[in-house]
Amino acid sequence: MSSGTPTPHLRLCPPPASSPGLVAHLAPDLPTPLTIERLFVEYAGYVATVVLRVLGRDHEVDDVVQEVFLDAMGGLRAIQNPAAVRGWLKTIAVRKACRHLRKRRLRAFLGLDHDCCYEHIADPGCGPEERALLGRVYRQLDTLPVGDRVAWTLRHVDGEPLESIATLCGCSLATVKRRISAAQAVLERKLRHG
Amino acid sequence: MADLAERVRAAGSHVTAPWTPTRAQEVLAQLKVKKVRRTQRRVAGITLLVVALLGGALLGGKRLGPVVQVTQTQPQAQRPTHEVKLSDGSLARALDETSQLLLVTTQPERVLIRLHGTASFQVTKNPQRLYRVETERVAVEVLGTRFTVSERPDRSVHIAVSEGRVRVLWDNKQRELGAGSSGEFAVAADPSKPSAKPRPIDPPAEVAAPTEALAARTPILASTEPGGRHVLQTPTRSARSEPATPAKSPPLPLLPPRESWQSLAEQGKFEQAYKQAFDPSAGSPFVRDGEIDPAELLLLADVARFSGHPSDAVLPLRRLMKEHPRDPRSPLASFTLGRILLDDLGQPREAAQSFRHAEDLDPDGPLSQDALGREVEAWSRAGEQSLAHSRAEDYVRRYPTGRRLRSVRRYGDLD
Repeated sequence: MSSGTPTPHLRLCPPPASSPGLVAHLAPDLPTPLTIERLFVEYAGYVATVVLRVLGRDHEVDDVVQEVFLDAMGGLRAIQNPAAVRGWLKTIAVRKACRHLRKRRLRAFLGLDHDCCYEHIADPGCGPEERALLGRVYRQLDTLPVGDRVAWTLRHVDGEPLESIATLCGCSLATVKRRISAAQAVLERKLRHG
Repeated sequence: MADLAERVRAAGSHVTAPWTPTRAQEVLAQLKVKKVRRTQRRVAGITLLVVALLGGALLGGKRLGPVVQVTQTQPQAQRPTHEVKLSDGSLARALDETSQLLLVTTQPERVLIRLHGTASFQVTKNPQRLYRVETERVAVEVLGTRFTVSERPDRSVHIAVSEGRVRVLWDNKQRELGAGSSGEFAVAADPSKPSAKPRPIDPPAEVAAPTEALAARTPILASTEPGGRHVLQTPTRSARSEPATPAKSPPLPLLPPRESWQSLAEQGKFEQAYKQAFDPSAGSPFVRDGEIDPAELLLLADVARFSGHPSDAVLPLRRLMKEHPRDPRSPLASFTLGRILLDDLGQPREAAQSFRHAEDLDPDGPLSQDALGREVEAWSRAGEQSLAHSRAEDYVRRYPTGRRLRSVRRYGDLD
């Protein structure tokens, strides 16, 4: 204050790196309406990555992505803040992925699910050691309860904060912590011996 | 532990879906197909749900009973038959080959069956539905009983009651029949129909409007009493324009059937009903010697009032109060009399006494508050201000928030 330069009350925030065109396209003052096609073009890749990280199997991603956007159609009119679309879609994606994982566990229980090669889920820039680690981790994740698995994946693979995971999974922060700890303990034990 | 998490986080950044435009287009195309399928599935699901709900409602309705559905194969009001069975279990069955039943009307609240010959009836009790049986000269309305009606060739009617209780009225006489009893009721012969041969029932021309047409043809006085008893009444000779002693009187020319004053009153034709009801030569109930039913007396009073002859309403109301003092309609008659005396005939003193009588007959009844309020007004108009004041104080004490409080305070000088 002593220098005479007024302190700004507002700051301009840059858009998130993962969606460079989002703010420009979905700003509330622009008259362009939200359509499912626009939403798909903008967010399908992002949703696919979220689903892939939770499921670990690329060939199951397309179905879940379609389910996510089918559900999104119903709630499109209720969206008042276009900036919230990304989080909203991620919530739908996580919950659809959870449902998909439960079906997969049921199929595995009935002997209808086959083992998958998880080493291929990483992009070509990934080193062989990391690729092998991901394969081992996802194989062990298949043995975990769905809630524990999703919480741990979101925390350590996707890098989500705990509060955000609680929102995405629809549970309390304490539950998220407990699930992550449980999953971590199992993974530590099995991967150390494996 | 921390080491594993760090390594996985580092590796996790390489887990990205290989999302190419071609793949996106394929997924979007499949998405649209799925959308159509989902819509179809939802429509099918909703349709199934609606069908299931309707089915459940129908089944539930059958079980609960208020909806009556005919299960006979013939469509209603088409041809005479030997058996009429309703979905609630009510059964009408002709007892011989020559007897015939004709289902004229089946509505949830009304079933009408015409009988020629002899038939037994087993009627499931349903207070929301009127089950009515008509012969040529007798009508029966029941809520739930078992009885047999038999037309005899000599034009008498035999009625046997298996369950419940009915009252039979014929030729100004009445008799009650209980369960297990029966009776033979001779009705004076109709000179216009000398043949006593059984004749088949013609399919009715009044299918479109059965109630009106039947009311026009058969003046039915049958009704259900407040106590739930069933009343069976033959049309009176006078109501049918028949001579009192047809054997001695010369035969009357054939006249078109005339509507009874009751049916006219029910149709709102009070002027015409008044002309018949209060004309001794045309069928007034006052020419009868016996007791008159309270419902008939009330209807008479209504006919007089609504046709613009309030003074003629006094007699049936007084007669009801005198002959049926314990009838539940007696307070209503007394209250109505008070209103007529006060509002139409300008006799406030008598009106006050009538209101007081209505209140005394049923002190806690629905009319008692209004009766007391109008009594205050009547005493005030009669110049009996002390009585009006006293009764007004009673009203305020008994009904401190009563609906007539303002007028009572004004007429009783309580302000």
